[in-house]
Amino acid sequence: MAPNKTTATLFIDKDSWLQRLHPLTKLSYILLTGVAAYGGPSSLLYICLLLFCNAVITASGGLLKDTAKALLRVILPLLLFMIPIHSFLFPGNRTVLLEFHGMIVYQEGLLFAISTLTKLTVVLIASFLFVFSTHPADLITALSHTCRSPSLAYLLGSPLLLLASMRERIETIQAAQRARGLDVDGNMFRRFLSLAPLLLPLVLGAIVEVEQRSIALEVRGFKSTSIKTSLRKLSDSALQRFCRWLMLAIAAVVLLLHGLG
Amino acid sequence: MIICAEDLTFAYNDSLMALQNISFEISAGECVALTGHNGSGKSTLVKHLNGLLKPTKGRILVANKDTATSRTAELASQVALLFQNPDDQICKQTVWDEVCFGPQNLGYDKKKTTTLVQEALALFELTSFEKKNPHDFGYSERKRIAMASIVAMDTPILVFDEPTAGLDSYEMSLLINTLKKLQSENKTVLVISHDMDFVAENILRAISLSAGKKVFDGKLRDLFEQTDLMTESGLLHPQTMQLSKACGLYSSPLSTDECVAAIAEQLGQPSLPNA
Repeated sequence: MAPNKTTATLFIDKDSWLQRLHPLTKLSYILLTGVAAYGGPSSLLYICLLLFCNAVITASGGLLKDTAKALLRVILPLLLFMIPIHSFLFPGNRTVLLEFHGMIVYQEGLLFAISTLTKLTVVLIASFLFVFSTHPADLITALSHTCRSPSLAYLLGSPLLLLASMRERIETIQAAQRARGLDVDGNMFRRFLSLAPLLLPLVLGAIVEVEQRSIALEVRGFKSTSIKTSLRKLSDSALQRFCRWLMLAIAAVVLLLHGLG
Repeated sequence: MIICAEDLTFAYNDSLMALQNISFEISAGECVALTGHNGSGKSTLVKHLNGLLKPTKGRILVANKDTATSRTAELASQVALLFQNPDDQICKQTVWDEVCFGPQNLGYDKKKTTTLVQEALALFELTSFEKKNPHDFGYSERKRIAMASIVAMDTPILVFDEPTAGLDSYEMSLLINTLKKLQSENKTVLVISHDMDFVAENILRAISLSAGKKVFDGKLRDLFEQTDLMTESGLLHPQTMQLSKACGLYSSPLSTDECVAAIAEQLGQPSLPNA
């Protein structure tokens, strides 16, 4: 058999401490990071500290390169739009930083854009860490054990499963339309026009797939009330359970303080 | 030569070898079957014809153009490619618009586009459905719509990836008629298929791949006579040959007519009654 061109999930199979962590521990970390970034102090130094913590965790888990690649793909386009828009048009703009041929860059807008992007980067890194280091089956197993409902566990875990197959399908649809002369290169307007022939097959395909998947699950006894056999063993420990509760508690306190303050 | 592959090598992510040192030539007007087991690299190979994939090493020339340096949108005027799953390409709200999509992208004028679309719809007996939504039809009708949209592009080269999958015998006859029409117009046709009965009846030349390497290039009859190669390529002999072998005949009939003639000859009769 020829090798597969892509893997079925976004999970990167490496033997690191991050991969071995319980999925719920990593989920709690995402929650804490999100709350800390958006509910904590708005100082840029504090956000950079969070960014540094995330970078250290990513590097120690051996996912720095993959996370950086994925992050750049998301952040770069946002950066290209947000920095000029806020630098020129942010409502709180007062202090002129730079003037060039009638275009004025303001300090307040620039700082706001940087702060927003940095917060987003912090949350994105934590999310990528989770996606790259957690096998979807592990997540569904962990959720099944926690919520006792396979349907709810599947509903929560399925985005991770669908993400990779959607990505693969987008590539196939794009190839099929390019083969019929659709020009997806060129200027932004041309690219925008080429979106419609890609979206319709993708959306309709996704709807059909959801229906087929649910039927396939039903006919194989997914909703059976008997106790299910689990072939995946997740490593968990008292320390991890303690850390999870600690992270949730800190997140709750930060939220409370944010609400009060 | 309308297609010329020279030492074509392709690796996914620079490490997973999908094609290795493949060379072949195809003349204008030829109809060639691309065979091999699943994952042997057939679809990967045909994606090089219109620049969807670029060679890691070697090159492929289509109408003397190096596909590595040409854009897919340009190569689409030379090579039309039917994907396995019709749902990957259907993107319009009516059958007419769907079949128009390719010719419009290629910039044909209104009159030529209308003529090509009408002809393609007629070939696949879709004329009466032209105002309907493609998604209201079943799989085999959607496959016919996808095939019509490829034929309407009027390119000198057409590639069909598993065209017979999901078609009933009547729809298969529409496809066979289309292939005959394309050949009469001197179009070059490449067909990827596991359906050896269809291939044996309609195509003379085969290129066979195994694990990304070319293992055969020649007359289809010669491929069928190499049992080891057939096994390696994961292919079954056509039913006419299986019947012939079961009857102890010495010939290798590729079509029903050839099979009937071989049986009649074995029985010492000029022809079979009711044949």
